[in-house]
Amino acid sequence: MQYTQNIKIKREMKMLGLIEENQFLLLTLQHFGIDFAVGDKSVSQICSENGISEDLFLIVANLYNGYNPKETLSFSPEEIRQIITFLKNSHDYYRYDKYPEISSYIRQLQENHTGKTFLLLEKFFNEYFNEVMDHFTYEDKVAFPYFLELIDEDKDNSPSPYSAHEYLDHHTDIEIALGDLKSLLLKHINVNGDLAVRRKLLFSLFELEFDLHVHSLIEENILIPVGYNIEKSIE
Amino acid sequence: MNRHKHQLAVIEPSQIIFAGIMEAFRNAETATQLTGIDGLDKFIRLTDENNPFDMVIVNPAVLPNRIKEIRKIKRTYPKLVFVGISANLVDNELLSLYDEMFSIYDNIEHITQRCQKLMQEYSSDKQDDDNENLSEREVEVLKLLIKGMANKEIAELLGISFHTVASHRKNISIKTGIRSQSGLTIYAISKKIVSLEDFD
Repeated sequence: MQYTQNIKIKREMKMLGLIEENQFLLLTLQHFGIDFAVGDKSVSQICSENGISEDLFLIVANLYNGYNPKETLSFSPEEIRQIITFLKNSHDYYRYDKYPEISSYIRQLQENHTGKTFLLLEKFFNEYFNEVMDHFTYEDKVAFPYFLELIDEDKDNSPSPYSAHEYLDHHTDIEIALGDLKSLLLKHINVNGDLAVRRKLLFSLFELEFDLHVHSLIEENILIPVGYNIEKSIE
Repeated sequence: MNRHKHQLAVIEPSQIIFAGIMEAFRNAETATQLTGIDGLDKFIRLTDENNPFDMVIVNPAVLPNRIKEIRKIKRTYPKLVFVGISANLVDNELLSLYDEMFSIYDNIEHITQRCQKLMQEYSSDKQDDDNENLSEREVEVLKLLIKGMANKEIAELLGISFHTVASHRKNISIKTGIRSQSGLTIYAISKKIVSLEDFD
């Protein structure tokens, strides 16, 4: 995947111009629950209207623009809640949006072409995706509630059955599967025509791959360090 | 067979070890053109498609923090053989970049001959264009892989070392761009290397 670096986003910049430069920022907005009709507003204005931390938004949006934060970051409990909501929204986007979309394109190809290749491709995609879905569900049901509990100041410090150390990353599996699908479609499988469906499928795979990549970065650079730090402070 | 002189680059920060490597290959009378290169950056600048190196002997000590760049080079030049001669233990991530790792205590003849052989294997012309240049041996390994056999079982069956199977496997993935077993299965079927019936 080619990550082109766009300009570094600053709080006074107009959101519209930023979207025009990098359309993937629409995903940032969507996962934060921000409407796309940004008008003439700056990043600051949009954040305050939507009750989103400006600092957090800048860090995440800049990940989408190709900038990894270099310094160690610290977040308020409210910001951690916002990160977790963002990640949960991303899971819904994978589950209810990308998955059916990609499946339907593969299904269309399968219907249009004889031979077993696309049937296998569908099976392959489903197998991997279901595995990853299980992992997302686990994060939603176990890992995220644990992090929320960690930042809850009123909680008693009873030993939790879970720890940030266990927060393993299964995303690589789906990243491998997506890479394989792209290689098969771009290098190996010979089909006649159907360029439109194949292009839509590829665009969809690229979009999912990009968002998953940023998703992993958010977990690795933001959520897991936050968990470690709080656990350390409790010990 | 390709009879041109193999191009061998050596990146070794220690002068005494560098001199030793150069001397060893000169004495071995291999058909090898040796180039000593001062650092990885210079190697990257010198490497291009018109004038590719066949092999680079690079001290693992210069690679940490450069792993991404090495992966990129390896993707761009899948035929480039990465060899290390190390005095220390090397961690697994670094080790995975190498096609072969020697110890400084290895026999000189063993090192030069093995290097010569690796360069021949990697640059050999016996390639089948229909199979993304997978060699016959790689196709053989691929067939067993997609049957679900583990590296160890494949090694036993073909009478080759575990390490060789792992390196074939790595090359298959580099050449096809496919890393998962299921993906490789679809590849093999769509290329008619195996047929669906083989799985029933």
